[in-house]
Amino acid sequence: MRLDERLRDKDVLAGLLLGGFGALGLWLALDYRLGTAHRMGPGYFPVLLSIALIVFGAATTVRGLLVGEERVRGWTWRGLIGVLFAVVVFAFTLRPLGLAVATVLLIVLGALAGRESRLWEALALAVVMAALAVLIFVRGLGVPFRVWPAFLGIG
Amino acid sequence: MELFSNLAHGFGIALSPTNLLYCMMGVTLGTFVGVLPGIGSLATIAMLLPITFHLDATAALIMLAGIYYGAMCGGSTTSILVNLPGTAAHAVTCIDGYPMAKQGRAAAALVITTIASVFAGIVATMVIAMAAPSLARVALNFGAPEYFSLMVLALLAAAVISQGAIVKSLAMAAFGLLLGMSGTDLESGVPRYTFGHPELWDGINFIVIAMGLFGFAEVISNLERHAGRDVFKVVVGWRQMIPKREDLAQGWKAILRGTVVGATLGPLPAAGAALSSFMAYSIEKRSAKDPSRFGKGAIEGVAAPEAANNAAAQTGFIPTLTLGIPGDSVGALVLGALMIHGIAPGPTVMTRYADLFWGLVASMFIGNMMLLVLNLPMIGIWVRMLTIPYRLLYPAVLFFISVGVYSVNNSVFDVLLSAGFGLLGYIFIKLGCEPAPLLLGFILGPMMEENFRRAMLMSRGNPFVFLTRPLSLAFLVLAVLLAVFLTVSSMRARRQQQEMAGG
Repeated sequence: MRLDERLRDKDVLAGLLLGGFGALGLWLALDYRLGTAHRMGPGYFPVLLSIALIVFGAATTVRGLLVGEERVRGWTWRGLIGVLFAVVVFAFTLRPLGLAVATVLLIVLGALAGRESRLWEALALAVVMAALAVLIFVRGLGVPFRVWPAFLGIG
Repeated sequence: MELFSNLAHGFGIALSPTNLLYCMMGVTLGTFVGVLPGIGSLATIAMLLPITFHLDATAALIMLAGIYYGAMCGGSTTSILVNLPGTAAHAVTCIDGYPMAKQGRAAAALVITTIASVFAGIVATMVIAMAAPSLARVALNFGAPEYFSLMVLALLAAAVISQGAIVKSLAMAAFGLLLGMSGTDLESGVPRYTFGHPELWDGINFIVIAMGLFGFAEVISNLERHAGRDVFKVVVGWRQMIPKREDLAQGWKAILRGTVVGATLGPLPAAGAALSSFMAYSIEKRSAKDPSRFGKGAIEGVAAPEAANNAAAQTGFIPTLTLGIPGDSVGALVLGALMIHGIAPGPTVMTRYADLFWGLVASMFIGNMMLLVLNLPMIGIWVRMLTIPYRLLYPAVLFFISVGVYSVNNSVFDVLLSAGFGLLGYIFIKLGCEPAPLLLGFILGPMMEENFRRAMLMSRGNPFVFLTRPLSLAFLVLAVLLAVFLTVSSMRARRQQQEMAGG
């Protein structure tokens, strides 16, 4: 196999990603006081863990280069971006616009992430879920949500 | 006898109207979501977990346990009818359950799995009631080195059990531990890995990680696959549901064997439901007079693994409740729920929170009975739910996850962070990294650091303290043996595969 093929192996990339997190963890942990093995500072255990993570990550990459047989495939942007966008919109609209509107936005935008969704179905589902949301979380469990948009001034 | 008075006390608590209601709600919700295709039992629990935070600790645990075994039971319905296992624990059930459905014996398969699950659940509950107190008494003598070594064993077992390369799973576990370091260091008060966000001073909420990795990521990855699926039009009248005599005759021994396998393996670290259902299946296949029936709709192939995974699901609560060390991701979620209710996990939970413990155990008896009532007469309803298309399900799932994450701390930051873990979880799925060791590491992280510190303080910085204490040494030796054994056997399996592929 060619090198650029090898580099797309699952284990190679997983090792790089996890090892990278380990390097980041180590770099940040060096700011915390290390202390001694007897009396550990806040940095001692994180440094140990980061080193372990780097070692395991590197080993995973090496393993992938040597015996890796599975390449990464089938990356879909639509589902990924669609779902995450819907959730982020929900997070930012929940307080200013209230639970009802945020739920409708989440459901409709979320439905757009799938290829099989139909708009009228999504709208109907959104209305039902918004009603359920208010019933379960606000009336039932008493979570203090704003239900309607703040500018309407009705709760 | 102490056992009976404890159990009687537990029933007194579990039978109170509110607890009965939450047990009922948990079992029903768990079965409901567990049946829905494309939503695994971990996602089910993670999704419904925030609801339990608004209850008192006992009711919350009762409901949570109900959700779990309800989801396990509901998941078997999906495996049999749609050939889609919700969890690894149900993967084997598909092997014979789906052929049974194709032969028109779906009702028989569903009935036998329900009987198997309920029977195994009740036996396993007895096992918990008997084994937990003595284990807790042993654990009271554990010092910091023993705890640390036991956690090493639990993490290693989780990594070894996972699919894919062991080093990769070890890296996931280490990453989980590192994520667990986020927040204020209890001893020095220094905020670590908070990136300047005061929201992270208390650490990352475990719900945020669980929902991101098991909820959002699962939805995103399911969106790639879901096209039309075949659901059997199952006839489930009363007549089809009465098990045939030969089915029962073949099934009951399988149920017994499966129960024993599950109840024994359940409490072992990381063994849990998935491994025990595989074990139970292979035992059935090996001990059968005619192994060729397996894979073509053998009733033992459905009965034994379902008994095993349900028994293991329940006895899996033992280490979580008595040692404070969860054996698998579900245990990790349960432990997280305990901590949110302000209960410090460990061997003292049973004595300090006797109401909670015995109430939970008694509720498992009651909940299993409810499963019987819920599943047998209402199976037609569950089957109809399988026809709900995924395009309608997943937006609702997204909603419940988002609101759930938000409502834990009324925090917008948590929702955004959870979406971030959703992205990470999707990358992990693509790279074949299993999230279970990460979650376990995350939950164990702070405890591990604390016990490591204490052990080293005791030994004045001498790391050999973990090797000179006999129990601690035993745990570590066990961990090494486990790793070596499984590495060797996986290498052998690969060599065989290569030989077969090579001719």
